[in-house]
Amino acid sequence: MDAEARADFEAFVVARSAALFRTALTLTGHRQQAEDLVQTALARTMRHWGRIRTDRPEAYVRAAMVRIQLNWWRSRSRRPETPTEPLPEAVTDDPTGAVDTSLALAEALRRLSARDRAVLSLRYFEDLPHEEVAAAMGCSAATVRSQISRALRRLRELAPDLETDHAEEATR
Amino acid sequence: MSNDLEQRLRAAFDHLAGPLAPPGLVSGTLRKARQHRRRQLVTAGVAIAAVAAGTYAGAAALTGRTSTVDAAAGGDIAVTGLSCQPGAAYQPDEPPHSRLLNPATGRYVTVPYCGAVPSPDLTKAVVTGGAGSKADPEKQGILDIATGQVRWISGVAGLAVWSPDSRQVLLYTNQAAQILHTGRGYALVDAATAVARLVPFQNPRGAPVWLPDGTIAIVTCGCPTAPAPRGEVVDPGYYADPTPGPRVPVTLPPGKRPDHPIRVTTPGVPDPAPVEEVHTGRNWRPLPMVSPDGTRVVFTVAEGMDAPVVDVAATSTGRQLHRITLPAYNEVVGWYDADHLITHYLPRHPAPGAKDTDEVLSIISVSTGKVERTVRRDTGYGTIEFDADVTVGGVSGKATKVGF
Repeated sequence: MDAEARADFEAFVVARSAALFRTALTLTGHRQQAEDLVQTALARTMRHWGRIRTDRPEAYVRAAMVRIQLNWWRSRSRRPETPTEPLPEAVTDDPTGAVDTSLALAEALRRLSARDRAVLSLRYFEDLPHEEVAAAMGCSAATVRSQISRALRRLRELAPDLETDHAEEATR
Repeated sequence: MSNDLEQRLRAAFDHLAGPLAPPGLVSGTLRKARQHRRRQLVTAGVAIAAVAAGTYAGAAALTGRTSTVDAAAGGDIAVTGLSCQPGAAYQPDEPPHSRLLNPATGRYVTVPYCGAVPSPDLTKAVVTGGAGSKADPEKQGILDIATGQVRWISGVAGLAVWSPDSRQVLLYTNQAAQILHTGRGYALVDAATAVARLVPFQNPRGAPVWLPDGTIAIVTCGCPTAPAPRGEVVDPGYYADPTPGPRVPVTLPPGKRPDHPIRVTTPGVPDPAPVEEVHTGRNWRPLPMVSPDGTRVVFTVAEGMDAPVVDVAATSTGRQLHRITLPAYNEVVGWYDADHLITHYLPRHPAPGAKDTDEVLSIISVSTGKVERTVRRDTGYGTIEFDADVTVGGVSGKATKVGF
């Protein structure tokens, strides 16, 4: 990598690290893992910077993060020793129920598989169209649609109160 | 999906992604990218080594690998542990601690002890606890890495040498003529119970090694009073436990007993003020190391900074097979495979910002002494980072934040 490309890469890291960290947080749900994920993806990106620097490098990094996270999740899921964040403290006397719902949803997201979580993150956090989600996930747009549907179904199973709350709100 | 639930999901992700990026993310990323570009430390699951670094020490353990070095393979070394030196002074905000590789996750766990020497199967480690005071004397124990439980060993302490099956630890001390208050020899500790028993041996100057079949061999100091002819057995110091085995008449030159820990200085501290002592776990020089196939043993002949010399001898006959002069400031930390050693370059007097502050692992042919591959990393004193993609026992993972 020549000096110009190196400077270009470093400028990219400075400009986009924070945003990529946010994406990593939605993928991992874990601050330390998110930091590791960003750093690892960017480190790998550097090796290919000359090729991708002019072709939407952020999409490349995002796809790298998804692949790395899926690999990590697979390797961790074979063993029980997975670093975990402390569970959120119980919240009481919340008149609106909003906080409870938010926590329930966060907990449900945490319990999703890495793939389900990734597809929801890319679609609803990054607001990517199906085609770009597919590119990041390494599958077709049709597969992405079915994965989103499955992930949402799983989310409802994990957090049934979401639907209840929604129904209660609708009747108010 | 309803718009309401969609909004909740977006809000949940926004909340999840709310925290600010950690300080140092950019600098850490750039540093990691540069390091990643220079080298990757990857283990194939069959070769595991650890190195001493900066003011900390590690341990080494290699298991059978017979292939030749493939420079294009991307490396196959993982650091199994980094440990602070027992007895060193620590800052209140950085208490004694060690990092040990968890092969199940490929990540490192931090344990609040110094002197950690991981077992070959990486499930346990010998650790050192206690403040070293009368009220809280220093002590060694067997740590179960998964549970964090420590069984403390009573009556003896020394340099830990794990058995190949990780079920026993031999504690070796160069000072103790009397251990366990019962006699001369070495202490053999059951890893499950932490109960020590004496292994009687009349000449405890020799350094113990485990052979792959589980027997203990004592590589003796050739002669405490006069040099022994190289290759000649002066004291065939040998003790086998639990089963007798072949004698291992390997001699070690006199004056090379492990009672001279390495001293390093820190940049900015006027030389020659020693600030830390370093040893390399089970490979505390000149502790000999047996090759993965058990046929050869390597030991340090001369520790000189400019031209450290090691000998490789046959464990069956004690005959010297090779004498290698290592690159300056290098020391052997383990066997890479049956034909190669791993050496670690630790700068003793680095100039800040100078190139020679880089730490280097080298893979060296035992027959020619030729450096066949090097793995380099930057390190600043006080910061040790090995960021490695690791695969141990078929489980891949990411080992980052290894540094202290």
